[in-house]
Amino acid sequence: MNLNKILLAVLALSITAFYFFWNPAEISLFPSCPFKTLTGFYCPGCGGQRAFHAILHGDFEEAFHNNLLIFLVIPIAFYKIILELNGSTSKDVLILNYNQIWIFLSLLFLFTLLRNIPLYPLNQLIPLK
Amino acid sequence: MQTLQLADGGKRVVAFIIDAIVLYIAQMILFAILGTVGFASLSAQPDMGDMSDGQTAALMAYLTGAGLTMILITMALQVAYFTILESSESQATLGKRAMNLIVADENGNRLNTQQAFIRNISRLASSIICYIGYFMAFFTDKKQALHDMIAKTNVYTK
Repeated sequence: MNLNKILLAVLALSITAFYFFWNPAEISLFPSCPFKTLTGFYCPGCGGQRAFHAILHGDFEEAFHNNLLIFLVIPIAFYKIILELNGSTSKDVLILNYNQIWIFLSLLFLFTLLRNIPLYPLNQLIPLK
Repeated sequence: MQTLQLADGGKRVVAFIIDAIVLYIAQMILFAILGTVGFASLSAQPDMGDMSDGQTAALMAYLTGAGLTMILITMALQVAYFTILESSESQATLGKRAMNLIVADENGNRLNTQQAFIRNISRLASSIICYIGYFMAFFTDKKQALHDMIAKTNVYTK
């Protein structure tokens, strides 16, 4: 265990604990999304903190509404952190090349587009207040 | 030329936090000066309650304009800071210097002002998607963030 790994572990655990106890829907600590403030549209990350809080309390339905991507982000972040802590050499599993990144960005754009269409069932992707 | 190694995402995060603190302090000093000038020019206004509709509208327009100006100044200051320092001889901002990082193109050559400007104006694209563009540095094969991919640049350890 070197200092970097200890730092990473402490950071990951404190952030998780922080989001378990803090409900972003009740008390807002951070400035609201600049994209939402300026344009009125939801960005792909909007609702992410609320979704993380919900998932830590086992409320998957609420997490789904707040931000669908949380179901993708948590496993990836968890896997990345475990790889980093193990000092694994097989880090290239989640590494994307140029073409894959553009596919990823297109999907992200599609998600952003869909969640801003106020029609059922797409309006289910709008974060709950 | 010495061999360059691609920089770790973690080190880049720390460098970015240092730069953010430097920029924050610079902005606070600037805004303290501008704010003093701005409020001094407002001091002759009547109380809010005594204002006519026209005066209220004029005050609101003034404040909105001041706010937008502050946003523009903030953005310009950030882009200028990153562009000038990353295309300078040290190829690094203060944060990157502290973490022993340098910015170069994909072949390891120093950026000219234009390349550095493209890299740093593209931070807007990285930021607007909820900073996912920055996190991409952890997942791309050349450890590039979105603004690195657009400008065809990279961050290396010295």
